[in-house]
Amino acid sequence: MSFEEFEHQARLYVLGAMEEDEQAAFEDARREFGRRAESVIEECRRLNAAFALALRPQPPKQEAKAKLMSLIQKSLAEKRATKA
Amino acid sequence: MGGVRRQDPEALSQLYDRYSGVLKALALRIVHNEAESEDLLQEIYMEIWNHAQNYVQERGKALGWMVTLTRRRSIDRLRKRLSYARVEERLQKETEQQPGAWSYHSVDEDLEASDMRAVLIKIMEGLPPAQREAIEFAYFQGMSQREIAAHTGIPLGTIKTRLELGLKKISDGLKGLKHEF
Repeated sequence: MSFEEFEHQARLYVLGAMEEDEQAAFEDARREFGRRAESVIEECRRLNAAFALALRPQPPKQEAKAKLMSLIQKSLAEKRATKA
Repeated sequence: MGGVRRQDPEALSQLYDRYSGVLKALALRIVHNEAESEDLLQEIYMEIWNHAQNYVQERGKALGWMVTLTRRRSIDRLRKRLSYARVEERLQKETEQQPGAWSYHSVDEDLEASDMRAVLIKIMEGLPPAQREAIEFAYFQGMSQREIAAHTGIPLGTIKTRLELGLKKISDGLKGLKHEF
């Protein structure tokens, strides 16, 4: 696989749109290209975030955060109790 | 994210205030159900809290990691909820009613759109509809290239080309943007 081809494939890889056989070849090329490959993949990950950021934000319900933080406090208390 | 890794609830609270709207929008776009998207959001933040140590800063920004988590969980939920046949039927309906995921959020309709979002939407909307549709199937429904081809009845080679060209255009468009993602 050429590096240019790898760059094309990296976008599909990050999107999860590759087939299994393509993914295996991609992983081989990824190892072969080393750091250059990781840098391309990292750049492609911006795509994932960009698609989400292009959507209109949907604020969650007010009570949702209180519920989450209560679960977090409970989880912390359990961890502390286990350590003690 | 460092604070969350140190298990500081205040850090998670800040992360929630900053990104919950974006992550919920993504979950909602995938599962199309308000209550489920709220459930997912809670699960995702619990996962962030419990697995923040797995986040490797060198591999990308925190938002990218959170978006990946959100997308994966939401697509899993969608697949569990409906049989594949039902998904196909629903997608067909959605495609007819709503040809573009980003187009109905056009900047003109959203006075509060941030500059960043406005630029991103312009990039997405600048794609030919066929390329955008292929990307939407891959991104919002988690379909592989073969699944998109089977679903749309369009040859696999054409789908590959559409995805390749569309993603390259978006990628090129993002190159000029400096942002946290």
